[in-house]
Amino acid sequence: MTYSRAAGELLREMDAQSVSGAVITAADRFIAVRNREGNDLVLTAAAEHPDRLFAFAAANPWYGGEAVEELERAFGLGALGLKLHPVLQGFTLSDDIVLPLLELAVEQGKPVYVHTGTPISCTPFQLTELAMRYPRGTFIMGHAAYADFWNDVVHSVSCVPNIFVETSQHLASVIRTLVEQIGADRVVYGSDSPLASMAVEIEKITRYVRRAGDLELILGANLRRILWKE
Amino acid sequence: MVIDMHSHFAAWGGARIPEDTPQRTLDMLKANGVDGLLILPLMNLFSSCPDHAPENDGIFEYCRQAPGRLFAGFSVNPLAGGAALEEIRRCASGHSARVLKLHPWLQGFSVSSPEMDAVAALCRELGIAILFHDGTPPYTHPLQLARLCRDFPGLTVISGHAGLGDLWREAMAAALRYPDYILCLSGPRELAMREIIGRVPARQICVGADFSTSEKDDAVLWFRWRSFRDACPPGGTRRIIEEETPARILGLA
Repeated sequence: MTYSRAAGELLREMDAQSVSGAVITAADRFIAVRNREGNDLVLTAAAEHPDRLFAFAAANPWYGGEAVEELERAFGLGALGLKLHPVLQGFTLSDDIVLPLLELAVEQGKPVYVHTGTPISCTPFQLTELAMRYPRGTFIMGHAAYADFWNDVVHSVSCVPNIFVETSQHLASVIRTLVEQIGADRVVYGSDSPLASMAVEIEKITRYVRRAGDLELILGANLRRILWKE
Repeated sequence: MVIDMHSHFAAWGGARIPEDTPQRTLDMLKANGVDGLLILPLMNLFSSCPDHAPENDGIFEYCRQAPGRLFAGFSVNPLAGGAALEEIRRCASGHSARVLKLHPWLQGFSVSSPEMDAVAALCRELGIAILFHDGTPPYTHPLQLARLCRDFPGLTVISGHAGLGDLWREAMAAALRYPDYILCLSGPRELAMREIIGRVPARQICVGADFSTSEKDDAVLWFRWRSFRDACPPGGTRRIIEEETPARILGLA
């Protein structure tokens, strides 16, 4: 399957759902191999819409020093965080090859978003181990480890203060459980658009998380805290 | 009649809340534009379950209170050998059950085991479809399950999650390879569902929420059907997926 998403199309979907801002990353081959090309695409989109689109950069750890250089370049051009996808990039979170990228992100105070939930390479406790190793880092557990690691998420997040859980893909009932058990201040809304519907991803939260304060945290305040320490 | 083809009896851990009645389940279905429901065991799927008949019978009794709307599935553990085969015969002949639910990693068996072959052969003989949990390694890759279609032609194998979020492409490959391999959309999200619906014949697709009857509300049921209908517009294809495929599998057509 191939797909593409231009900034204008994303902004229209955001407008339709009253979403004011979005973290964007390049996808698929741009995460796996053509990092610089993908990073330039999202950095350009973010530069054109600085109040609405916020770029996270991708760098494949297997490129070694070149990956670190690419991440440093992207941070210099305005990327606000690092996106890791162990499945597409062919490594496990327990492999030391990822450490140089993490060290750069932590050093520069940039959050690290990690696709999680796919065995064997990106499980919740693997991310917890990294969060323990880098207590000054900020990590985002992408997709709340969808699908069958839902049992692990609460335990893996509760034992460290520096992991947020992102909501896309997972069931509405699981998101509600996370809010109840780890607190709304650790849960961050994400849509995974265009793979999933932004409308469905928002409604699954607003329909089953009822407290206005919780919604404010999940739908905006937590991300502002992650990105800008607000 | 729109039928949800993947739900479970009671709740995770086996507890059944007092409010869990057939009427409450029907009301939740109605609120989400669904008319009928296939209910599968849950407690029977744990490998520690020593006796499958009590939960199977509980589901038969539950569904008897809403005939034509609630349809009972059942489960056995293939590793039980002859006892499993006996229970399959009892559920098929005594209760006209049409769908056996298996969960290889919870139940601790491999689809490639000889015990599975005996179950598959009997299910084919009795016209019973097997709905598997799928989408999670090591025991439930879609193509692992699909080998049963190759080795037991005529057996209907249902991929209970259509590969979930990680293995839906593999599930699609299995369905394109074997016409009796059915994808139950209960995991892939909208873009993946559109791809599946565009490539796999609708007669091989159905929808299941994977909710449990004792959940406190319709959060899971709502989410799955809202997501599916976002991906599949009204029309002939949706009708086949929502109505005709389930009816054929359940022997209603």
